[in-house]
Amino acid sequence: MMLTEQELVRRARWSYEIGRVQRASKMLLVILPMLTCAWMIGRPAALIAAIGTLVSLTALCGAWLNVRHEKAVLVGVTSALPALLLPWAMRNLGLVRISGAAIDPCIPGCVLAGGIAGAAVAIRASRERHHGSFWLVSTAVAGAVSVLGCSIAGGAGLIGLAFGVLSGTAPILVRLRERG
Amino acid sequence: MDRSERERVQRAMIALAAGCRSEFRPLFDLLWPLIRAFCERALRDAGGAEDTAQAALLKVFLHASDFNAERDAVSWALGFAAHECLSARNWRARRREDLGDERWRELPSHALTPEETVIMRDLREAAIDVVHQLRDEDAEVIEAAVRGERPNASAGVSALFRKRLQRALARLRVIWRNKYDVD
Repeated sequence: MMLTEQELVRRARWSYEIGRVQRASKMLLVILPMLTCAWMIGRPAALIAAIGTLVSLTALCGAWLNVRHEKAVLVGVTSALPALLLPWAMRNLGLVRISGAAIDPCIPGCVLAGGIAGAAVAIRASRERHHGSFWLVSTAVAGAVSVLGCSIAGGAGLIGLAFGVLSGTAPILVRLRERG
Repeated sequence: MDRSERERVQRAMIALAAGCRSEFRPLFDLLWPLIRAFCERALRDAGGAEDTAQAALLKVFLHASDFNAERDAVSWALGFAAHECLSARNWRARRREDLGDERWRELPSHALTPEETVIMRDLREAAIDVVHQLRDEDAEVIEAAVRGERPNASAGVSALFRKRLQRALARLRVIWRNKYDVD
């Protein structure tokens, strides 16, 4: 081989980046089962493809970039799992009648799951030194995965999800700001 | 490599594993001379050692993202170098077989591993260094004992030699302990 030092530096750097891509590709071991799960609960293929591509690209780029963003993606996916499954589980209950009015339980389910996802992401981000970028990546991934589940309830479900995420995140962000 | 350099390698490797690319060049500058020196000592062939060290270094950086912070970075990196040296030696041995040299095949394989070779050489050099610090008469007695030249004369001369050897070895142990802090 006998490379010059400059060439060796270049190749070593290239080797390092290949190593990072290999590591990043392991993120698919988390994302593909999650997408399979979404497909099994009857989510539309086009939506799964669109969100799957978005989440996979974010995960691959994040994990390639550094470990902090890799963790952020993992936290985003895991904290959004209730939002993926809860609306589907509640849809099976059908319409619930409370004092004569028929209510779709999916919508409170989306609010609750959104709140759980938002709070989980915000709590985990508050423990990180660079909590801003961690929270941003984590929330983006959690939001995308949650849309897969909450779109069962249509636009109302998505609004409920957004409300839940905001109400789960806000108290922790406020506390974080007070702490400085 | 001293303790502070070792700690710098450890810190840089942990940072690089976490994705901090600014640590790449400092780590390269610390690891490259270390791995090259290891391979040169293990293979005793400057050209082959350079090739092997380059291959080892590329593997270190390929796997840098999977480095476990609880491990010692220098040992971890030298593990790759040792593996590459072993592969290079095996490749050379196979090439000799392919060339059809029957004499090589008949030889039993008692070859030491690259780590064993380096350890043996270091120990030998350390022992010679300590013997050189002894007084001349002590060094002569030890050398004579190592060569098997024990006096065959009367019982008195033999006992005197044993006594001198015993004292020389005691001084050798003291110097060894002071220098290397081990028995």
